[in-house]
Amino acid sequence: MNICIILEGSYPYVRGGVSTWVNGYIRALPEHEFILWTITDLESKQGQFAYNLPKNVVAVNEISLDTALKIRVRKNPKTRFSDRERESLAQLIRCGEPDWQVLLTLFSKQSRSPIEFFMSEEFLDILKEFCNDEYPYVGFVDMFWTIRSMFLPLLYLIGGSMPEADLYHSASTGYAGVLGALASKKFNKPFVLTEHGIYTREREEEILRSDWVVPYFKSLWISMFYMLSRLAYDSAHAVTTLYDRAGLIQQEIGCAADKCGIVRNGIFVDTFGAIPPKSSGDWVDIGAIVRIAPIKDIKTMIYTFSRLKQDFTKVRLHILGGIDDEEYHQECLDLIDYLDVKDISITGLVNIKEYMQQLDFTILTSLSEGQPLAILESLAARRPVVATDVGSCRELIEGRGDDFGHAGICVPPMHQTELLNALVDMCNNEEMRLTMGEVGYKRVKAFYEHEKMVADYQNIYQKAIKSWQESASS
Amino acid sequence: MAGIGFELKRLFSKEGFLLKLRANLYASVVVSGPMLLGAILLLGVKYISGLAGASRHEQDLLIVVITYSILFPLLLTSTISYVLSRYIADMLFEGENRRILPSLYGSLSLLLIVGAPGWAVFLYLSKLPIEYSLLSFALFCESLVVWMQINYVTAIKNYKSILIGFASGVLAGLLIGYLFVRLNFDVVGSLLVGACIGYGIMLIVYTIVLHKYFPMGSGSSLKFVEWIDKYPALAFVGFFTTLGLFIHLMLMWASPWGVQVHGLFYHAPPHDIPAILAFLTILVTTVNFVTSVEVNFYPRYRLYFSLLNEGGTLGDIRKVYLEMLTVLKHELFYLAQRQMFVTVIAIVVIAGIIDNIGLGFTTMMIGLFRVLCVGYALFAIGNSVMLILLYFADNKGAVFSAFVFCIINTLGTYYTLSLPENYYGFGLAAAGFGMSVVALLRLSFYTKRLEYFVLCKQPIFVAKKMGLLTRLVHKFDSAN
Repeated sequence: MNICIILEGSYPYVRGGVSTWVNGYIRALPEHEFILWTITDLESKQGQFAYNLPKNVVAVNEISLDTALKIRVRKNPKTRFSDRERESLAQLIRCGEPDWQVLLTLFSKQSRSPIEFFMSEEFLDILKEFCNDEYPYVGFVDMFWTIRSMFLPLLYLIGGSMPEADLYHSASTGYAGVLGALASKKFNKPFVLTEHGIYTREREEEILRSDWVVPYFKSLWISMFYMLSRLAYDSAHAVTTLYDRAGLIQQEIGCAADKCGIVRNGIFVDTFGAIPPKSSGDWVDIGAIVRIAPIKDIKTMIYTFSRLKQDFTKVRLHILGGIDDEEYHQECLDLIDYLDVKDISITGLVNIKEYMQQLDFTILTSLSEGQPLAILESLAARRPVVATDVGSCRELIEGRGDDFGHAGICVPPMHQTELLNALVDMCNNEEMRLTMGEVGYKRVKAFYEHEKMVADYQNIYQKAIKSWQESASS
Repeated sequence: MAGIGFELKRLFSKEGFLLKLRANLYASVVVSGPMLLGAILLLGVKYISGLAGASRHEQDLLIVVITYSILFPLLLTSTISYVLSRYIADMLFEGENRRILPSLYGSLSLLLIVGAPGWAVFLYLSKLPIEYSLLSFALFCESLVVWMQINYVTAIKNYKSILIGFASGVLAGLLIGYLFVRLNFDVVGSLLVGACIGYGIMLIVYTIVLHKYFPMGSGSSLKFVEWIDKYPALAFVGFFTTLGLFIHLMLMWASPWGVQVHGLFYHAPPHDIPAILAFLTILVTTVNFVTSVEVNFYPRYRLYFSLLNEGGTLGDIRKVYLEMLTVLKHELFYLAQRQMFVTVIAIVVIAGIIDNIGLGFTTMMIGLFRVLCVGYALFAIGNSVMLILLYFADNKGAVFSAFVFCIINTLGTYYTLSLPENYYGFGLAAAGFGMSVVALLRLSFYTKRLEYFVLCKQPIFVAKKMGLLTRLVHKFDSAN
């Protein structure tokens, strides 16, 4: 089978949860051919791969949002639209319910360039109506540029060339979801949507925090991403996520419940299970397998560790992972300096399996997570975990209806005292650590084996194909 | 994760948009002031030479030499005066005052390099006596500098200086010419010297004014050339309008009415003199544009664009838009009305007076005067509408209007030459009419879709386009 995986800003450009998953997943299915359809924000990132592509990747179709800025305007732009087209465009701009099929036909290659739409009188009329109805007290020209900024990349993506495949598989909603949905419509092929994090929510948080979106346009930007997600959910023949709570959010956003399924992350448990326990000594070593980024809340980790150091002299913190955010990295270094904490090492990218031998347990202080590989790997290596209660961390540590027991301690995010207590417990109690480590190993062995995950996705494909056949015949 | 894409830059506000454009409009308006004073200089010279008993030929020679020596520099500078005004306005807006004087000297060098040898060849071919040639050459260079300086002085809105400079120059020139004549020097030579001194005074006055206002400056003196690449339309508007205003004179010189005065110096007095007099009648519109249209229309115009730029709501924009157009309609209507009033007076009353007191006017010339009055009046109206088009950044419309004026005047005048003489002058009238109609239709079309033109037509991004001239300048600058 020829599978087109659609990815946004992850594989193969940057390392991370989704990237690791895609890489392992493709390699586990040598009998299938894969086409990567990847979306980056900047054209300059094209071709800058952080991974060696597996052999069964037959094509990479790269597309960048900023290429939209390079579209040339033709000498005689077509600026007339039929009533149906106009209605769809108006709905699009209002983040309502556009007829995507109409938009797809309209902006497909050779037909119309999005810039022609944004330069047309029709656009101005649609915008004025929208402004009159919904934003009468907002600066009109601000609105004008906001709408242009919002929809130019989207229409550009819609109008781009689409690779043909037997099945489309988007790893997120958003732009990747739109492309998957539209390609599936265009070539009449099944479409599978498997989300790790809930993209819509991530964008929403990002927009709310951002300072480059003017406050009164934030809701507009957010509704655009909700609209995109609705398209992906409506068009998908099967939708999965990593854990129950995320599935409920998908339904809240508008995914039909009967489409939703859960496929848990998987790792090669035994490659970690074979890691020997740490040779005993006086020191307790804590590992944090994280990228240096604000979302990982490394500062709380540093603060808490500095308090831990007041009681325990022989404890070390190893922060293992690449630097994602240079500014934040510097802030962390400054904080370490300011608190004058000893025994924190920030190693950069290392071989986790080797490094794991030196660790007693691991810590994760993220503000947001899906189903972190860091926890799965740590548990597989029989290292218990102290993690914040975000995403499916609690499910991993305390189990989801199994009776293995606790594989670590779950604490509220950003709560230094609770985190400190958990760390103190862990440091004090070697026996507990070993028991918890064993529980962790059993849990991941039972539910989070890579092979199982791959098989689960294959089942989801079958389910999607069946649903697609049904919808075609009905 | 991929970010949310990007935010489109609002090129719009960064450019400061249209507000600056206004500055370059004054140039075209105020330029006709000095042109009018130039006409007075000619009449004065003619009067004094007549008084001094110069022969008919000497009088004619004086007039043509002075006319040619100030008219051709005007045509030459018209090619870049709009663009330069825009450059100056942009630099003033950005507070880059130091880049302004270099552009004056840069543009002067450029035009002198082109113009002066050309004029020397013209003089050589005309076989004018050497001393007259030298004086004419000096006058040519001086007036070229003066026309150019006027662009700069208008940009700082120092209209008083322009008029003082011009008036004192004209007056002093005439006076000195008169003195020399009284001292029994050669009449033609004396008055040419007078004209040279007159323009020399203007040159000095403007130089002082400009150096007082602007710092000596630094940077490339040819930087302004990039503006020709950026706004080629402005160069065309300036050139077509100025050429259109004089092309019928030149065609008449080449016609059977044309008389060779000396060498390549021709004139056609039965046409020239009515034309100069008729031209004076559009002074009313020049004044009216600055005092009334500018004063009443501009505040609404500015409000409209600042609402657009600075976050006005759709409702507010709409309201001001309607107000602005109402005022514009009224103002243009009044402007046309006043011009027509003056023109009718000129046709009826002044033509009658001229007829009675003689002045050497034949019936034919009086008829021609009347037709030309109508022609210039229509031009004045069309030109004002064209300026409004420039206000709205409709460069295309403005160029087209100017082009229509120039081309109809050229072809029309040429065609009337094949008709009986009482059709002479209708070329200009048709051109003025054509320009007015085209400009008004365009203005109506454009303002109906104003938001479309100023917003939608704006490019989504700015391509860093390097025009041919820009690249040449860069090469030239880096070679130095």
